[in-house]
Amino acid sequence: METKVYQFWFGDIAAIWPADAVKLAAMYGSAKAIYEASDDDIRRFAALPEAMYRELSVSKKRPLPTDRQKNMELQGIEAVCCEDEAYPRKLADLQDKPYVLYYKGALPDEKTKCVAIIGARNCSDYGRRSADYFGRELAHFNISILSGMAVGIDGLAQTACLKGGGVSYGVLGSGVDVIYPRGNMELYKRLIGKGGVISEYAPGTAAHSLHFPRRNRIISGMADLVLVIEAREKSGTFITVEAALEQGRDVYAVPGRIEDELSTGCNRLIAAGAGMAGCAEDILYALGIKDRPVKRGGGSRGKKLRDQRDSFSGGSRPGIYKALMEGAKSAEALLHILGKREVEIQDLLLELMQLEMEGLIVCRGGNYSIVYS
Amino acid sequence: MVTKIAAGAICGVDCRIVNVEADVSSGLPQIEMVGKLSPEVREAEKRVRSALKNSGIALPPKHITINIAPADLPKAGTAYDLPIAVALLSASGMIPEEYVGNTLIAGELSLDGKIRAVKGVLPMVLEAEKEGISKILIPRENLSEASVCKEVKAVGVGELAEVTEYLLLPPDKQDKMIEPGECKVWQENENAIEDDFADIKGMAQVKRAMKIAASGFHNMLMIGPPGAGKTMAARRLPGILPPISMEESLEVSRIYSVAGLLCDGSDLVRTRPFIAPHHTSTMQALAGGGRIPVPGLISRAHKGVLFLDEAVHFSSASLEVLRQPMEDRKLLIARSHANYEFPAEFMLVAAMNPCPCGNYPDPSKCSCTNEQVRRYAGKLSGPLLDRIDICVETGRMNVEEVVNGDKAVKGESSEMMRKEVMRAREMQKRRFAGTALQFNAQMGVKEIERFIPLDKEEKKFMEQSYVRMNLSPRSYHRILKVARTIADMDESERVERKHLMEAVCYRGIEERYRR
Repeated sequence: METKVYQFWFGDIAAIWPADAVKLAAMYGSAKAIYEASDDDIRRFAALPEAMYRELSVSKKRPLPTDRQKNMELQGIEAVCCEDEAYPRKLADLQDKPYVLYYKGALPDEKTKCVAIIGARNCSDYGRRSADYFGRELAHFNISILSGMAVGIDGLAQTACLKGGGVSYGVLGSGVDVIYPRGNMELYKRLIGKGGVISEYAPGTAAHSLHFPRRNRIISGMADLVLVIEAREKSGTFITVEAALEQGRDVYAVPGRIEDELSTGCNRLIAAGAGMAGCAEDILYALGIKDRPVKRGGGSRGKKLRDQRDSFSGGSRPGIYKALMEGAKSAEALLHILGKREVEIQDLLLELMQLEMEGLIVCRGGNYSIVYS
Repeated sequence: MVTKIAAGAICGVDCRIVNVEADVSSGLPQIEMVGKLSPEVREAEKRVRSALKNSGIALPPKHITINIAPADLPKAGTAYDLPIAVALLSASGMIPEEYVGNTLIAGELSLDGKIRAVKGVLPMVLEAEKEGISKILIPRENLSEASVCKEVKAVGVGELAEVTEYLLLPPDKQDKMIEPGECKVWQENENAIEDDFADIKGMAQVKRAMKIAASGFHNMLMIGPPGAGKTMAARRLPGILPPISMEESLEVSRIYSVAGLLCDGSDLVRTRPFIAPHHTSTMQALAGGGRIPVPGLISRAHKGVLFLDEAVHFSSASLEVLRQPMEDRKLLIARSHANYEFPAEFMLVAAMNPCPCGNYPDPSKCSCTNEQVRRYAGKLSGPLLDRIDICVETGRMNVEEVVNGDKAVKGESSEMMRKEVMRAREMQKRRFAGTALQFNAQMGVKEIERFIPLDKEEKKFMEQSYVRMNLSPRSYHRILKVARTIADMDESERVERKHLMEAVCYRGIEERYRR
């Protein structure tokens, strides 16, 4: 109990200067020892940023977070310190590992493989389908999906994983009791039930733009492999990729068309040596679950695509399928692509509605797109 | 000696015949005016005095009392100048009283004796006809709007001197001096379509939605990026509504007359109005206001289209004003002295961008977060959305469509669309015979159950679409009403699955953006 309080105290500081904090903690052995050491002592022994010295001395004058443990228990939040046995093995070797990890739900099981799926917030239809596919398909192979619970690829992949009956973990840039973005409330609740949410920030900490780049190292650190679905050439995703490379994690990327801005980052990654993820089997091979790589036919993705194409048969369905696979289209644009006359719009609308009812396409803001099934 | 001259007092869009009484008696020379008069009526004294002098008429130096009866009715406006002047002349014996009998007089005087146009002449003529008044003497600019009744001779005058000369003639000779305006014969279908839908390339879905909206008089909402042609399409909507009838035209013209929009010599309103208030319009500008209220923009859209561009940017107070007229088809404005009623039966067409930047759902252009998109769509209040049956997206037009749209593939013309609308209206007329309803959009829950029976298959479809499309319970009835209209356009007595399916395509904004 006593030690926990000191760990929380030091964890709050460590969240800002993780690498230095790890060094300092190793030097003194425990958070309590650091607390009890005098300012001069610390200055003499450790080379730390000036601001950290100041923070250390100032925070010692403030009251210790003695209530935190009790409050956390009320909210079902748990914490693990890097000095503890239960600390995730994968993170333990990192230079800048988080000193304290707060979590709600559970921490990833050490025995199951864990894949981080990351990508653009404002993703395209292609990205949406890919996230859906990989999330769901990997869940079938009992692989947990790790991500940042953000809007776009992150949240979509996690949602798909849970839908596929898998386990998923979200690493947050806020306290684990702060739901950000609000739109992912539903996902947050489900993650706690099947998986967990994890953060190095103390409960109650609000989301801050500085927190997100830092939490990315935890995402890659806890994963066995990082899969990038859709990223622009300049993207926050690359912070995670860089961390993954430093930590020695495999990086895979879903390729895209060279004309798509949202795929340029991924294509560039593949050019630089990242693995190409064309189907779930590629990932399984990389993780050593499958012995042989997929040679032809596109693996499970190819089969799904063929099945899907078959369900778009009859009437103008094949034409609709072809057009929508290139990207979301409005009914107006489809009318034009299919070369129909203006008055035929009502027939097209009926056909689209039928497809929507069958769950093959979905209409978002007037644009129809194909649903991954 | 006391004389009485008939004049018209405007109350809302109606007119009441009032009497301008003048009494000349000995006493201190002065003109005294009574009868609950607003300032501009009181000021008439000065205008009349100068106008008479400058027309070469000298008033007798006597005590003159003017009363406008009934004295408890508030009177406003400048139309009383001329009747007051005539009453004065008649009371002082300069005009024989029997020569002005059974004549309603209205007009504003300027100091040099010229007569200016006034507001509300049309309601005066219609009221005069009802009251059996055979002649109306009005400013020449108002002659066109006044010449609508066979029973009431409309005489346009330009100067006070002309009036005195005219009234000095015995009634049988008066017509020879100034010929009464010719009563125009109403012609159906005479309004040509100016803005034709055929000019619009692409936008097939919007055109289809507008055709349905026009057929069932449904209110509609267009969502689309800036420059997608929302305004262009809305402007063409009045052209596909059935041509305005004589009765409708008179109703609309009445409002325009009272609002002073016909004063410039323009004719009756012969096309359906299209009113597009700016989004900064205040509540008063929309509903009508003033101590004695004048019709606002909402009433001016009577029998036509009220187009709210950038609907989310209207203040919520302005939008809430729309609720009552959308329900009751009229606006009630209460003042301490009276209640005023303005007809307002319009089709609401609202337009908005899909998100703050306007480019959703194009991910390459739109940088708004999901949350922003949701919030933007949520700016229109639920009660207002409840009254909007059709919701449609307008994508940005394809460059190809704009450039290569040659004449051969010209879209459906307004004339063709109007024919279809008329057919659907005919179906509705037959169905609603003997009820208070005219259009599908006006059906309530009870009427929907009565007029739109669903078979097992259709019921099942509705249940399925509920789950699939995440529909809200309140959109259920809206979809049924729209489906009824689509079936009417198909001339089908029964609402079938395909009609329902298309109707679901036009489901409300809350189902599409708030998930």
